[in-house]
Amino acid sequence: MQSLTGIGVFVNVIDAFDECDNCSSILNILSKGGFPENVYFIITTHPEEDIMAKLQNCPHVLLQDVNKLTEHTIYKDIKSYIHHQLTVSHLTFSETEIEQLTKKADGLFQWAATACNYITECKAGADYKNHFDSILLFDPGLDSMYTAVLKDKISADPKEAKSVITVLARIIAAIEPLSMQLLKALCLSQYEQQLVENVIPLLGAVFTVHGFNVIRPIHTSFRDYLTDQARSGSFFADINQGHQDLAYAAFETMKKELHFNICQIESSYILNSSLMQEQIDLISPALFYSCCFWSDHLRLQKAIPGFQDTITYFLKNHFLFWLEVLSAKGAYNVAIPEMKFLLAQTVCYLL
Amino acid sequence: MTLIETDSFFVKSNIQKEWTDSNLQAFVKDAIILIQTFAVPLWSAVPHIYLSALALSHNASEVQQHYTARFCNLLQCPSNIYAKQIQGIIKVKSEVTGIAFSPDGKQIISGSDDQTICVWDAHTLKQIGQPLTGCSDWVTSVAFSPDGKQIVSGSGDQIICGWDAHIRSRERGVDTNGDTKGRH
Repeated sequence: MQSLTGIGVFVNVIDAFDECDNCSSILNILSKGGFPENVYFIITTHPEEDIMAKLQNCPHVLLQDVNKLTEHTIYKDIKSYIHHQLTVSHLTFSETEIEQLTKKADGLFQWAATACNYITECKAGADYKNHFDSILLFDPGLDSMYTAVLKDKISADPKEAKSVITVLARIIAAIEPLSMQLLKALCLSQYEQQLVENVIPLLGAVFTVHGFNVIRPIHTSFRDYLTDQARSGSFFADINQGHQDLAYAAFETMKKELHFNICQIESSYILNSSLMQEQIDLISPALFYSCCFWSDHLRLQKAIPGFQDTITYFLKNHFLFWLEVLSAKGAYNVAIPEMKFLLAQTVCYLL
Repeated sequence: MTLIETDSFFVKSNIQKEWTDSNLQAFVKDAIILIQTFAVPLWSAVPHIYLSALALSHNASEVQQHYTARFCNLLQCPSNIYAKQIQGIIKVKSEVTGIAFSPDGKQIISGSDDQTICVWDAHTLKQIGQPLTGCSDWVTSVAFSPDGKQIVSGSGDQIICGWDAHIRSRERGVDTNGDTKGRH
């Protein structure tokens, strides 16, 4: 840092500082201060005691409690956020229209973010004005915003809507965020795969698809909304069902893809460290996900119906091939917990 | 020539015995043992899942029994290289610091940190008589004489004691300059 002698201002942003791995060592550096004058840090954090204790009395630290911001400040912030979001998407809205939207947000940043996503995602047509108009008609509050977006994007046909919701439940239930390809691979029927392809891209207002195509709910509030039947009503995503579907898909994937010498190792003298990437890539992402997380999806279900035959089949036919995948991928830390979980389960069956 | 590349190494066989719930449980238990025992070869080289873990697992392991038929030319181990299973357990009240068999194999003696020596029936694992007392510190080692008539003990009070194995009374003590750390 001391050697930073460039011209101009350097602003370092640390978001969710309390969740940083090496939080305490960074905290020590930050609390000491003595940075060049053109270096600034913007840190967002929960007011954890140790962090606050270190930073509270530092003369070079300006603390701002967001809960104590005035309504007016929040209003101004949301307004400039909306303005920025719409401008970067090259959409033109008048000052009054932006004011209208800001008022509707009623102090909720997440509302503003979802609204902007909803408006800006229809890039092709002039459709965005319609989206804007309909947002102004939504009932106030985040839940009504989510309901309205889903109602707009998901087919009115109850059967199709139900299928979409079961796919959404899988996204929410996934142990690691799924990519589009992975989600598709873990949907067993072609119909569901088609749904993933057609529907997820339309749900940009509530699911973000980031680099590597990873799908995540835009905010924990949307996740909470989806999984709480009282809030989401007919869009309720049953996370228990999601786990059950993913467990089933995991066993099916393993059944289909696990086989002897999956990495096509040519000699028994070869160590894992000398395997080539192409060989390791013979293990598909869906297979690797399945090998790592089948037990989690079983464990997180309220009841485990009818998986005993599947488990028996897996052990009888694929146990050693499963070890191959974990060994080649270096994921051996999951092996013992998965087996111990099974052991606990088999004890339950016997009782 | 390596095993894994030979076409006949892996046999796609469908011979499967019917499994009961207890088979399943035993399999999972043995799977855990296999993973723990062979962690190093297992995680450093995929082929050693077969060449080490499967081949060298205990013959009674469900995993071994179930899978070996599907692999040819695996190293075979005679069953007697494995330690026998624990046949019985003697519960004692304090830490065991030394243990020995009598030359005829019929008795076991144990010394412990409560300053006593106990004699056990090696077959029934029941205690014979009262514990031998007389040491004034931890018993650190115990041994039988080759003819089985005497027991000797070393202890932390710097004394080696000789005991009559039959009437089990202390015969004599020999003072030493340091702790007696015995070997049998």
